[in-house]
Order: sequence, then C-alpha cells, then structure tokens
Amino acid sequence: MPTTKVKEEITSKIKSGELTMKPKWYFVVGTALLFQGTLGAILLGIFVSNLCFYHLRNYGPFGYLFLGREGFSPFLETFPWKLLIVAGLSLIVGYKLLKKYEFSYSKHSVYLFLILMASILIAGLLTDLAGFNERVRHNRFLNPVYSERFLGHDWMMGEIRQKTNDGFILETPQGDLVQIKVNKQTVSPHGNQFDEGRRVRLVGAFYKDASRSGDFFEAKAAGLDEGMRWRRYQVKGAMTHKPQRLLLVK
Amino acid sequence: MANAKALSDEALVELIIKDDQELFAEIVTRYQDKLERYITRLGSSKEQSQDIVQDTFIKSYKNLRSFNPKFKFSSWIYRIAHNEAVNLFKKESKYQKFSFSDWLSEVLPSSSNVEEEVGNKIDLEQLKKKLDKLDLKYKEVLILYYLEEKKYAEISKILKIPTSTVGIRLKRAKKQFKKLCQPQR
Repeated sequence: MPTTKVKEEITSKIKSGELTMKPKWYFVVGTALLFQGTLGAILLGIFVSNLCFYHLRNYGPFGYLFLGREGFSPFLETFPWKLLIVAGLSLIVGYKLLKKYEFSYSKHSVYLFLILMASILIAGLLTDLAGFNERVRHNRFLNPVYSERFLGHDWMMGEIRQKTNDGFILETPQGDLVQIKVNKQTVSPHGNQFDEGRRVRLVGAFYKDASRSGDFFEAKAAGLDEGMRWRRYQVKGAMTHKPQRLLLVK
Repeated sequence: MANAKALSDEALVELIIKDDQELFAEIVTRYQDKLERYITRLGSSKEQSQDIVQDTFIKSYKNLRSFNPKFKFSSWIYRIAHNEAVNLFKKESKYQKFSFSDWLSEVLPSSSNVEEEVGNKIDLEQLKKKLDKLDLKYKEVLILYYLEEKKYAEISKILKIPTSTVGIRLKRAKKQFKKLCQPQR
C-alpha cells in the first residue's frame, strides 16, 4: 500500500470523525486505577504475609514434625497453607501490575520480583512483630481472619496449669481446660519436665473416663516450649468460642 | 504544512493534540516506510506488514494523548508496531517464515555491517535464510541494531527490556548467527 493511500485513508477517517483520540481523562483514570490496583495488591500481600508470620509464631507448626508420625497431621492442620497461597497470588498480581510502569522494564524481571517479594515479607514480619495482630484481632470485620483453634481432634497446645498424679491440666490460649494423661509410652523429645507455666504441644487421643465426669486426653507425644510464641490472650467476649470436651478442674 | 515538516516528532505530536489533528498525516509520511521495513524484517509478508502498519497508526492516533513528550516518539511508535506484529505472529504462529523477495529488492543499508560482524561472505538470499532461523528475541535486536540502526537505549524502550539485556541478546544473536553462517562440514 503506497504511502499516499495510507495517509489519505487515515486523514479521511480523522476528518470524518471515524478515528478519534481517546480523551485525556481516560488515561488519567487508567493511571489512577493502575496505581490503586498495584498498591492494593501489595498491601494485601503485606497483610496476608503478616498473618502467615502470626500463625507460624502462634502455632509453630514445624514443632509437630518432631513428635513422630502422629505429628504430621497436626502440622498439616496448623500450617497456614491458604494464607501462603493468597500471599503468593497477591505478589504475582502486584508484580504484573508493577511491570506496567515505565520504570520497571529497566530492571531485570527476576530482580524486580525478588525485591518485591523481599519487601512484602519484611513489611509483613515487621507488622506482626509490632503487635498489629493482637490489636486488631478482636475487630468484628477482621475476626473471621483471626479465628483460631489450639485444639484439634487429636492434637492441642497450651500452658500447663496444674500437675496431677498421672499428668497435668492444660489450658489452651482460648481458655479451654483439659485433663492430660502422660505415661511411659509418651514420646517427649524435649524432655518430660511438665512443670506449671510451661507451654506444651500434644498429639494423642480423647478418651472417656467412667470414673470421672468428662473426657481426658492421652498424650502419645509431647513437645515442650519451642515454637509456640502466642502472646497472652485477652478474650473479652469478642470471640465466640465453645470449649470442646473439657474436664473442668473442680 | 511546511512548518510541520521542520518540527520534531514530539513537537508535532503536541501540535496535533492541541490544534490540528490532520497534521497526523505528517507522522504517517515519516514513519510508514520505516515501520513497514521493520515489520517485514521481523517476519511478516509485505501485505501483512502494510496492514500491521495501518493498525499501528490507528492505535497510535487513538492513544496519542497517552504519549509522554519527555520520551522519544520513535521508540513509542516502534513499540506499538512491534507489539502489533508479535500479537499477529502469536495468533498465526508464522513468525518463522516470511517472504523476503520484496525485502531482497531493497538494498539493506547495513547488511555489509552484518557481514563484517560475522566475518563471512554470504549473499542476501543466504542472509535471509539464516536470519529466519534465529529466535524472535535475537532476530528483533539484530534487526533493530544493524538494520534499523537504533541505539541500545532506544531498543530498550521499544522492546521494554533493560539496556544490559539488549547487549546480552545482541551478543548471543551474533554468536548464533555466526554459527548458522559457518559452512556445514
């Protein structure tokens, strides 16, 4: 197609109004939306990675792996898989939006991704360390995000409140009190000094005790102290929580 | 119109946006042949490249208000043309083959540079066949640098890659091209 023909065609389309320029506001709105989208994705990434750190600190899921084969199931239950996936997706979306900016192509894609990931992780960690989660977890909008449990069907964690003849009374961070039985078969890789005030994670099973008024938990394995760094709970009725299979100390 | 010819691309674009949209015809005059040549070298037929160039001008006119006059207009319009061409190639998966017969009839201004660089005596027909075998990402930097005579910074803006990556790809492109040009034993 000779130059003159293309020129004529384009010029006639411009003259007739068939070909028009997009208005300036179109690009301004586009830029604003891009900025908001990028910022939103990054902030979501920071918040969710902060939640990951919070969960890892509270539950210390890797500690269950030291308790043998039985520890694998509570590890899977307490590890923040869904949060990690959401954080990963936010990172990817944030990265793709960031690539739309002119400055981004002058940086290697891999470096840009790594810098973004490091920034989100560091910001998430600092947010958790600053106590942000403890301050907002009772907020009714964020409450569903912070729904926690320290008690599963075959595992639990808490602090030792009182020693008994055949074990101890455990209190979970949410206030559940459970009678724990330990015996010679109980695996305890970190020692078996079950003193009052110490934090412990347990794997085992609930049983009914005919001689008592409730259930007890027989511990197959117990891990002391490590990896469980929840801060003291102040449950002031903001979270609804039903105690499960408790034997309340009389 | 005489005034328009004396203006830089960036000044002309500003005038088009503020005042006289029909001056866009001058942009078409300046860039049609260059863009057609570039797109043909990338891997399309002459007919396809003409369509792509027309689409490029239409797209660039529609989005003219998004152009930032701090940057070079030629990088901006080359980028649009490049993206249009690559999108078409992806749809048709035809970027490996193209008709060079029309291209051969034009004298490649820098083909002697390419030959000097690879250090081999090859005729243009052979050059076309060898160029065809390169990966698109190497072919495009080779074409932009040697045949379109663009600088690293501009190639970086057109292809949206870091300047260092332009250098790396050019080095690899020349290496690959040299290998292809070596006689088969």
